[in-house]
Amino acid sequence: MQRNLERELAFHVTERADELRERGMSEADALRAARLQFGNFTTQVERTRDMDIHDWLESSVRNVRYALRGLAKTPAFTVTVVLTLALAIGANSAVFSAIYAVLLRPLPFPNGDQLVKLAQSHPKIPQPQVAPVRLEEWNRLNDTLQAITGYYEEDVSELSGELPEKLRRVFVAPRFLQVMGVVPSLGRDFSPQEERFGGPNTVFISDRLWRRRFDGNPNAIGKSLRIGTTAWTIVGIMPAGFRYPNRDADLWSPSPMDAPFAQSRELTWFTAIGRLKPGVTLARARANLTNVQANLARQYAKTDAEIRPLIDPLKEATVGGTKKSLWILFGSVSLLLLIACTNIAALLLSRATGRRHEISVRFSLGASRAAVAAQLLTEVLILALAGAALGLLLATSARRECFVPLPRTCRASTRSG
Amino acid sequence: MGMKKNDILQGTLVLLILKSLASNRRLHGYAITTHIQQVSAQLLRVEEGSLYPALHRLEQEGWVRAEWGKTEKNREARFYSLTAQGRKQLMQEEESWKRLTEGVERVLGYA
Repeated sequence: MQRNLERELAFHVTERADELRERGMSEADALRAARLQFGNFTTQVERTRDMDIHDWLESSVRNVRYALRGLAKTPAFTVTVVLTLALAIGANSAVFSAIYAVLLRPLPFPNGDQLVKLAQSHPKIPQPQVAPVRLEEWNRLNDTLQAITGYYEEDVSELSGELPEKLRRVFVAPRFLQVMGVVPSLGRDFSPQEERFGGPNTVFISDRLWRRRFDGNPNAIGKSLRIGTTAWTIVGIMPAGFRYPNRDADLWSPSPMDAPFAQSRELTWFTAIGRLKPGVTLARARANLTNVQANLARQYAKTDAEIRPLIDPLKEATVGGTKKSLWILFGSVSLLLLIACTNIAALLLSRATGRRHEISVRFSLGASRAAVAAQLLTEVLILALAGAALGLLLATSARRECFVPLPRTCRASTRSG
Repeated sequence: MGMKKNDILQGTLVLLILKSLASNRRLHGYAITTHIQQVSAQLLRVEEGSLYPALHRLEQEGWVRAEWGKTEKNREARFYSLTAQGRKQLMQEEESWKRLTEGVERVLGYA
């Protein structure tokens, strides 16, 4: 459009220059005089274009003012529509945030999609946990996983403070940090001696515990916690936000795999997790591990013959149970939104019917269809914006106050590391 | 903006443009200026700075329509012509102009 305008104006200048030349001016002078007479080219173009924007701006501001006035005159209608919209939008927003955080977002660990949960299935043993010996063998003999580790938890009483404190301790198999892909924010990983039976008693503490009990002081490394009759030396502090396997975990200690009491193949202690090698598919890992277990079955027929290994993505394993309920929840709030919109549409329709007289007067005064439509739509737009703003406000406060009903193991997934 | 201040002048320009197009079936912008100058015996000179914004507005209002064409010199120009709505608008503007001038004369004649 701009180019057309420039062409048009250029033509005008050319004609004027022609006329001046006929009167005797030289070509160069004529052109210059013509341009001068025409005035500033660019401002012309801009001014012509501004006509549009100016008019549009004027009518928009006017529409908004009328709309606000009209809505203020019928407060019951306005409040009803805005609240209905706010509740529907707020509910949808809150539920979708939850779905995103739990189901859609990847696990907050580096390359979280490589993490898998391993279990064993046995027709007569219901527990899926794995024996320490078998875990080590799986780790050693497989080709498709970077590392396999495992954990189990217990509640302990920590006695070194003023009052005994109940804390949740996690016993971890070796390679725990490797599988998780985290490093302690302070301190170091467990040393091989510490992971052996009879070695020094060492522990990692959570960031939260560190700040609470030691005020975030780096000299916490080397201090001891007292559990039962034993002292446990702190060798590392976990990064803030790290709360695996659940939000209650505050202590992590090595579980000695060579302990005499850990040698039975029939133990079902460890919830096993692992990390796939880059580029390895789940199918390949399953096939490989099944092979490994088949070999073990031949070696230890009595205990291992009927055991089958299971591998599932860790995310599935942690949130899978809530998937169905979350999607059902999502379905119901979507329905809620639909109902709300239907309600609002009905309210708007009845309001428009009541304004038929006003609208016909407008038409008779010469307003175009577009102008009248724009004015009515501005009103709806204001309602929609107000409802949406309020809805989002409700959603954010709901996230803070309410608990999304996740199993405890999910906490690690919803709080980012 | 500028429109509010030179209200009378802008209004007159619209009237003159519409009338020019009524007497001639279609004109391009330059021809409109020359027409007004000639017919008014040089009493009126169109300020070229306001011509094209005014033409643009007339087009927006639907009072004139414009299309590209060739002049006798075979140059490309945009030609304007009146629409039916434009004719109606011209009648209204002529009416208001007559009323305005009559009113002014009466006030001036009273002394």
